[in-house]
This record gives sequence, structure tokens and C-alpha cells, in this order.
Amino acid sequence: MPPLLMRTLVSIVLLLADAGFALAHWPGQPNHRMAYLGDFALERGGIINDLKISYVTHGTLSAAKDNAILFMHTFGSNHHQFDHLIGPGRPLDTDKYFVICPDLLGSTQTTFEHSTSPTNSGLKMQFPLYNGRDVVRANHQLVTQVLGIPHLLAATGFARGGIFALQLAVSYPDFVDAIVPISASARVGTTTFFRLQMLLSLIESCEGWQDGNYDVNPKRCIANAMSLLIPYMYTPEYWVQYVDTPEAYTKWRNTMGDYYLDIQDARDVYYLIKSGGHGSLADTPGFGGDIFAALRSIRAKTLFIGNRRDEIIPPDRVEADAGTIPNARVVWIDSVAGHNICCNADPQATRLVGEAIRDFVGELAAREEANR
Amino acid sequence: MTKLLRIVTLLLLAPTGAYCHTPEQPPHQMAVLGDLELEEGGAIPNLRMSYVTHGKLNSTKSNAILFLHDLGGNHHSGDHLIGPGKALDSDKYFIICVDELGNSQTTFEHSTSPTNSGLKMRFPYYKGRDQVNAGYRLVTQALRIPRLLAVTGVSSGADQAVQMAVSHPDFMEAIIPISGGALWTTDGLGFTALALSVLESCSGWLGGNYEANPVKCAADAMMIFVPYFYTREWWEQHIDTAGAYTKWRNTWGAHHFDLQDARDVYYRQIANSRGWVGDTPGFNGWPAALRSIKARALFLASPYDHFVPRQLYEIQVKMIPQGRISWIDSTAGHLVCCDADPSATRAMSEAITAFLKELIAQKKDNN
Repeated sequence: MPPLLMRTLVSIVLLLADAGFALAHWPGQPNHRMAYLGDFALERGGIINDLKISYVTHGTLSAAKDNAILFMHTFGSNHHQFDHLIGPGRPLDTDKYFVICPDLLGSTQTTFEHSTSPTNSGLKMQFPLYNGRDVVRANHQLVTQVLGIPHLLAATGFARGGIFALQLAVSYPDFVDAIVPISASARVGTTTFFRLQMLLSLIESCEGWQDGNYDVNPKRCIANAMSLLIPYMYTPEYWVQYVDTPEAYTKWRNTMGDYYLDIQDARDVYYLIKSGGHGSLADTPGFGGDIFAALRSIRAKTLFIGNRRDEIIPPDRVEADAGTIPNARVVWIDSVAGHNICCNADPQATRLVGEAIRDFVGELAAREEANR
Repeated sequence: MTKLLRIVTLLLLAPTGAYCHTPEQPPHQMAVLGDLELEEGGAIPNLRMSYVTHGKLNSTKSNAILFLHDLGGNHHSGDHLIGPGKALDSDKYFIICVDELGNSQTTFEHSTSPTNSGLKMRFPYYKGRDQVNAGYRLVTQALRIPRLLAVTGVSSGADQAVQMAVSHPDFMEAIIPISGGALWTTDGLGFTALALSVLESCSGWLGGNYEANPVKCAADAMMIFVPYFYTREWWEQHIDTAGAYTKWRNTWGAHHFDLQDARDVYYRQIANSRGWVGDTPGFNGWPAALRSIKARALFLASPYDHFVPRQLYEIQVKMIPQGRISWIDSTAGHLVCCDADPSATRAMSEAITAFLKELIAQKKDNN
């Protein structure tokens, strides 16, 4: 199937800017840190011994500890995912805010020492099954126990990280003033049923997987599985507009490989998918399986940022969420980037995401200032 | 309950049954065509092409329509459009449904492929134009029809219909590409490479030299296309529970995913990466190739096709001198081609019927 050679504008800069880099820290970037949370009991039974959570922080915590913002990355990503939105004068302004970016429990990337995962724990397939609420609780412990911050100004996150922001607001209603879920809704679209099953199927039938008990990470298996996500990341028009020649495609694929597709551990992704299948807002203890009851309980001011052309998140679900949470609204951004509005796939969309965050958090901080 | 019934009906309508012929269906036929020289060298010895025909060829041989199936499909892939009173009306037209060179299904004896030839990985690499030439040979040499009324096809069969109009410009009055054509996005480079990689890294592939077909590998390689089938809205509407998904998967498995030969799929995917309308010898790129088309062209597609964005359809229709498009507005997306949405099938049938009628009227005027 031939590519269309329609335009020759290839934006290498764009591709390089796309999403967080996994590979390298350069001078000026905050150091990787590691928090030790001790033995960590999981909701479905099982214990992770000596849970470690890796993270970085940007900016300075105020004396009143009232300027902390938590960012949570998405499926397969890391603490760098929002780097382009964090810094002096940027939407998550490090002159004003203290921004905490953890790597989520079960982190899947192979290129740096990160939070405890099935593979880096050495437990392999004996690692206990965790769920989304365990991930959120680990972050809560990181912030409250290790960093000593009792209360967050805001929690934000992209895609799966956005769902975790919702979960955080449900599980810890007085912990966070505001949440900003981006490309996320409490109920994901039905395509999720087969998307994740297909990933599992590809991993399981791949040579080198060995029922998950491999010693050498089967890189090709997991890169293939991760590649199944590509059709969901953008709209079809994205390719015509931004990746319009075979050369541009190769560049896009190599860049995407370097920070995402080609640096995953098969077992850690396998567990990540399994964890995604269990534990959602709806089954948060105390709500009787009623997702709307859980959403109604949210006290945090909520700003959804989404794209109606997102292939994963149906807009009506975002609107239903926003209509149920007592103090919530949605900012829609229209972009060929589809799901990936966050991360410079379409720089204009990312700029709008940044401005929406800047305005929302700025208002929030001003209001709190006025209330003091 | 109403909703549930509707889903079940849809699912039953969606597939074209690959594995069984009912008594009223035309019998399988096999043409033996001798050696087929391939464009990039090598030859397929003793090419055999399987096909069925519907309706009767008239005495002037002026009512023949060729139908080309999709990747992984077979001669049944157009059945929803073929029959008495349907768009491809077997009371009026003689419809030839061919199984493409290299057909990848395992459930019936079909056109020559890497596996059924016994050559396995020694089978020469073919490309889309070789498949088109094999179809051309079948029609002209075995059926002895020098010129077709129309060539139509679904998905990659639509690509081949356009290729046929470029490679054999005087062979048909018209082409009707459905959910496909000459242009695809660069995303296609990715999923073609992915399909090959999935097969190569799959347990049981054995470098392609297996004896027992690794069915799951082939199914995985076919399923990478599922995200492109429909729009998000279609999934939300029709596959709204995990159970509905399982039912959908099993139905599709029975006629598509689970009856593919891994090696034949591998070769078919390679064909996708070797040649397209734009590199047809004698043209300098796709615009010139499309401008050379003499056939009238009616494209049928959903504006929400995830394989081919709307603007790519519009560009190619503009390039083809007598080209136009009828948009089929349906959340079924790419799969408007293939009866995923009965109302889309109706709209498409009406457009085809009107187009063929117009074509015949113009032919009469010209005579």
C-alpha cells in the first residue's frame, strides 16, 4: 500500500519534540530520584516488597506547601512525558509551581532505573497482579510520606494518567484541589476490549516470550505489540498532514521507537495490561459498582481537555463525566493529532492544551491566594 | 432486546461466508493458464486461477463485470452486491468473481499460492500488478472476453481495479473502486512491516518453512487491520460489551481471521510493499498514471474511512479524467465495502445501479 507523496514538508523538529525523551537527561534537568515505600499491600492481595517509586521534581516547594502539582504519565511512558509543558514561564510554570513527575508503579521502559516492576523486581511472572488504584495509592504515598506534602494544588495526567487523576480525586477527596484529565474519561471506549486483547495475543504467541519467563527481553515481540496502538494515537488525516513521505515515515518511526515503541519490557507491559483490566473508578470500595456515584463524589475542580476526534476516548463519555462531577468542565481541542494532543504531534494543539492548563491552574492559585 | 437482535443480525450480515457453498450458488471453477512471468523476474509455473461466475454472458460479450476481493478475502467478498435485482444484477450482467493470485484462505482449493503450489518460501515474490495481470489472463484467455463492462473491487480489490485501468486502459468501460484506490497514507508502510514482523517473530512460523500452518500467527497478522475497519462510533454502537466483542471476533474468525495460511498472508503482505499504481512502468508517478485512465470511474467510500482519508479520495478522483465519487455516509468506515452497515450497502447498491445504467445508455448513444 503506497504512501501518498503529497507534500514534502517534513518537520524533524516536530518529531524530535514529540513526547518525552526516555534516553537521556541533560544538564538543567532535574535528577532522577528514588522513593522507598517499604512493603506495599495490593488491593487484590499480594504484597510488593520494598516498593520503589522513581520520580523527578521541577521547581521549588513553597513554605506553605501549597503549590505542588502531580503529573501522571500514560501507558508505556515515563516521567518525561510532559517536559515540554514544564519549565519557567511554561504552562506548568516552575517559577510558581512544584511539579512532581513519578514513574508509575510497574513502569515498563528498559532504559533507566525506574519504579518497581515485574522485571526489575526479579520476580518475573511471580510478581503479584496490581491494579489502577494500587498505582494511585503508591503516588499518594510518594507525595504525602516521602515528600511530606499533605495536599496538592492539582493532579494532572495524560490518557491513562488522566484516569488516575480521576481515581486520585475519588479515593482521596480532600487531597487535591483540582484535577486535569487530558485525553481521558472514566469509561474508556469499547475499542479497548480488543485493543488490549490483541496486544496480549501478540505477546503470548511471539517467539522468545516463553510464557513470560524469559531472561532476554524479546524486544521485537513487544515493539510489535506496542505498534498496535499506533492507529489509535492519531486521526488518519495526521499522516497526510505531518508524515507524508516514506522518508518522513522512517524518521517518525525511528523517533517513536527511541522513546516509546522499542524500549519496552514485554513482561512489564503484559502486567500493565493485566492491571488495566482490573480496578476502575466503578469498583472503588464504597460505591457499589456505580461509576456515576464515584464521579459525583469528586470534590476537586475538574478540567477535562480532549479532542472529539480522539480514537480512544468517545467525546460523549467525557461530557457525561463532566456532567456528573459537581464542578467540572471540558475544553475541546480540534486536531488531526487525535488522541495525541498532549505532546507536540500537532504543536498548535499542544499549545492550546498548555494554555488551557495555564489558565485553569492560574485561576485556581489566584483563588486560593484570595482565600488566604 | 431490540438492540441485541440488531447486533446479531448485523454480525450475521457482515461476513461473506468463505467456507460453504449453498446449492443455489455457482460452482467453483479453475482455469489453468500456463506460466505467469512476474514483473520483477521469476515466473509462477502453471498458474491456476479459481473463480465463480454469476449470470449469463450475452452474445456480444458486452455485459461482463469483474469483481476483485480484498486482502484475505475470496470470490464471495462481493456476494452482498451480486444477484438477481441487486447492484451487480445477475439477470443483466455476467459477473466474474476471481480469487486473486496468492489467495491466502485455507478452506477451499484456490488460485496458485506459495503454500498450495508446494513451493513454500521458494515461491517467487509477486506484486499487485502481477495479481492484476493474472486476473486479466483469466478473463481474456480462459473466458475469452476481450473487454469488460466494468471492473469493481473492495478494499485492496479496489486498488487493483485502478491498477487494471492504468495497466490495461482499453480493457474496460468503467471501474468501480469501493473503499480503496491508488493512494494510501504512510501509515500503510507501518502496518505492512508490522504484519511481516508479527509473522516472522511468531512461534510456529519457522522461517516460513512450517508443515503445520500456525493459524494463530496468521490470525494475529490479519488482526492488525482491525483498528482501521470501522469508526469509533461504529464500535461504540455495535460492540458495546466484552461479550459482543467476543461474538464479533468469532464470527469474523470463522470467515476471515482464523482461516488464513500464514505463508500466503506473508507473501500477500510483501506484495503490498512492492509496487503500486504510482510506479507503473511508463509513468512518472501517480498523477500521470491516474490521468492516463480511459475508463469512467465511480469511487464509493465512506468519508470516515480510516485507511484512506477523505482528501486522498478527492485528489485521485480529480486526477482521473472521468472520475467521480459517491460518498457513503456511514460509521462503518472502511467496511461500508463489505456489508457492515446494511443501509450503506443499500446506498452503495443504488449508486452502482444508476452508474451502470448510465454507462449502458452512453454506450448505446455512442453506437
